[in-house]
Amino acid sequence: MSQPYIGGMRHIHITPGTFDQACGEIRNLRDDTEVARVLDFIAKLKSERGPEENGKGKSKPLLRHVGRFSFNEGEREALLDMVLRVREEGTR
Amino acid sequence: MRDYILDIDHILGLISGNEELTRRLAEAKNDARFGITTTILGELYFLIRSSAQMDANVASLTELARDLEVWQFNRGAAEITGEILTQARALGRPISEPEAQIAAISRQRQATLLTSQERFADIRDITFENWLAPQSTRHTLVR
Repeated sequence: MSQPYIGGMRHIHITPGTFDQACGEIRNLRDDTEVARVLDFIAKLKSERGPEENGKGKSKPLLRHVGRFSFNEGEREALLDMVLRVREEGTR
Repeated sequence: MRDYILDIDHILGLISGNEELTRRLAEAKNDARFGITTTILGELYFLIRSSAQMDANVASLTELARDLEVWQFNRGAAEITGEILTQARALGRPISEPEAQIAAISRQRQATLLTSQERFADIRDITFENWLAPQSTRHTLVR
């Protein structure tokens, strides 16, 4: 089924729902004032998102992984040497 | 905010609770994003699958990978890899393809590579630091 083009943008048909309704509302904006209001609203939503959602700010909790792996005595160092040797073999 | 790529030695340092590394990670965590490359992730699975307690460690690694950014080797990185390999050969200090791939993603993302492998010093336009050592030195080679 072909998809109509509206306002130079491809209209993607999805099951009717909130997103579909929001797209419809945006398409029906009448003037620049209404567009500006929508942009302000989107900016407000973005500013209210948490730092991780924005891809900024706190890193994920890496330190909780300390001690979660199990290695025999000396095994970790031996395995690291093995991997680094394999990595260097590419130079030969 | 700065991106950091943890090389395999730093991942093992994290797992074993290296004091200097955990201190630096804790200090930097509010203004940093930490990740690995797909090449390093592959090496980690190789390492873990060779360990005695493989099943438990694979599960732990899968969980760790969820808490890290995993940066992909894409077309742009492939192009940079070729450039890095050529430059390294011209310098008479060839490096392996995995090292070139890791360096390429580091350069592409302008991320600091956390590694103790001095071989990365020969690669230009990447920044690397060693957070396993008490006195970390920041290296950037720009030619």
